[in-house]
Amino acid sequence: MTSAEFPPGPLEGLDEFVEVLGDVEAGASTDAFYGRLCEVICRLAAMDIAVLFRYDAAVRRVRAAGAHGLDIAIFEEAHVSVESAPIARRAFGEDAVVEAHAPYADALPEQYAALLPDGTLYCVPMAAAGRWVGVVLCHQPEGAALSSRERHALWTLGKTAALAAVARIATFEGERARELQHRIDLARDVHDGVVQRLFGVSMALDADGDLPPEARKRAAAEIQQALADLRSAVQRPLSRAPRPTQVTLADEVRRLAHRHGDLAIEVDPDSSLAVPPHLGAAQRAQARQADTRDGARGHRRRRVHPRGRQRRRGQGQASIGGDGSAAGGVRGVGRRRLRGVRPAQRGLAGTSGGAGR
Amino acid sequence: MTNPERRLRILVVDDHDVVHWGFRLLLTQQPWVERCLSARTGAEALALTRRFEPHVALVDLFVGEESGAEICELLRRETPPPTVLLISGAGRISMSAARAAGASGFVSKDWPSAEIVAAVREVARGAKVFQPEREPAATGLTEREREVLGLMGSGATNREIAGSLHLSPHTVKEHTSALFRKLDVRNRTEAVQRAQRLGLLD
Repeated sequence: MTSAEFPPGPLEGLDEFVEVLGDVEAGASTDAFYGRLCEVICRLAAMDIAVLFRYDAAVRRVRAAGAHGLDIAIFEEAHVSVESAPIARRAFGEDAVVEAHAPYADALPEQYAALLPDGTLYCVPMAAAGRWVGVVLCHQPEGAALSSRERHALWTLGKTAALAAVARIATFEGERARELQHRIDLARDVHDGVVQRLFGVSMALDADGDLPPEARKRAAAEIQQALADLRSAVQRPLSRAPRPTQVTLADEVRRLAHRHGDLAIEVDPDSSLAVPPHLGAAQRAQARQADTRDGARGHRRRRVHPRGRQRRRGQGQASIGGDGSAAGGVRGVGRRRLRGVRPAQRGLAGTSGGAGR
Repeated sequence: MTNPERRLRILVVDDHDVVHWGFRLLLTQQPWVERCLSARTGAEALALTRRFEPHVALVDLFVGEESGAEICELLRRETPPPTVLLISGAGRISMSAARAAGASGFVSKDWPSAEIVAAVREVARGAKVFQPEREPAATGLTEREREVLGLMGSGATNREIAGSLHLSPHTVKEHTSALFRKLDVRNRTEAVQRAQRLGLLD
């Protein structure tokens, strides 16, 4: 097909859909999200009312998830289904935009048909990858009519809305999975670090006779360690862990070398740049920060020393150091150091330091 | 049957040093214990069993990445086979699964130390030590009650629940009353909170 076969039309508004999709990440509330989808559909397809109905697995029924041009509260107590709305049944069956004209008695339950002014009602199926997500009921004022191209565009918007809804569901599920993983990690750490310690100590304290001084000392130390582990667990940040990438600190150093061809990058002989994977994001960020900060200050470095090393118990350390001179000839030494963050502090990756597990 | 006069060699299989330390202090104080051995892996447990022929092996359900039940099976194939008592802090194993693995009992680390010690002695004497499985009350919920609970958790009213499940409001009310009783709560807010704590809500 050529571009001539895709004349300007409602699909130009896909950008607006992309913007709405962006809100998935921004965490817009569910109703606001679907309400915005309705608003965009109205704008792009010259409708005055749009109500998005979707199957809500949480309450196991179809519910009005968003509306534009009509108060969504009207549908709060509604018990609608594909059976009670023949127009929706047809739209699903035919996978097409189906229209009905006032008074809509053969399309909608009576109480809702009465809410709509004269004009034309369109039911747009929302389906993606064989999954029926819901329908959008749109109303066009009397006198207007959809061309076949506009009807196709509306059908495509339904598909896009379905994709947006599925993306939102996927995002939500992903978030839940992350929260669950966080709880599992927390439970495991508390079990290993606290519960097992206290169990061992309680066994020791229940032994007959006086506890030898060495055992008493160890019991105190184990309890202290258990407390420290517990404190660390409850202070664990709740922020999201950085997304895993395949880019390592070594990759980032290579990128810097490529970007600054005149820069001598010397990796310390005792540095492997092989740092614990969970610290990778923080260390890459550190490398980029060192680069951009010096750029912003007008510093010109002649040599930089990226350094990374593994330390015990999952800790790591990375630093980007080197000499440099400011634009005015003032010499300076820049060094950014990131203290290792242990696995328990994954949420702090990208910032410095913190207590460990 | 083990001779009650005989002093016992006990093997503790656990991946936590502090647990070994606690058991060593506790068990070696018992007049009927000859020796307390410590293994941190299945391989170590096997090696110590072959060398010292322990009478009882106290095996944690999770030894690092290894399964305590599998370690139990391995040990039970040795000659002479030690009597195995499974133990766990967070994990649980059904009586049938434990028996199938060859264990003579299962004790929880929640138990007081005196009861754990008594269980070790009991299994050495040939007894089986399985506490009746105490199911939390909430697992006694019917499928329908779980559905009602799920909808309650999503904020649905009784009327909405009735509509969703195609039940009469009266039936829903009966289900909610049963839920309150089984969860030992007074109202739907407490029911949802309790259900969340018990992991009954998605």
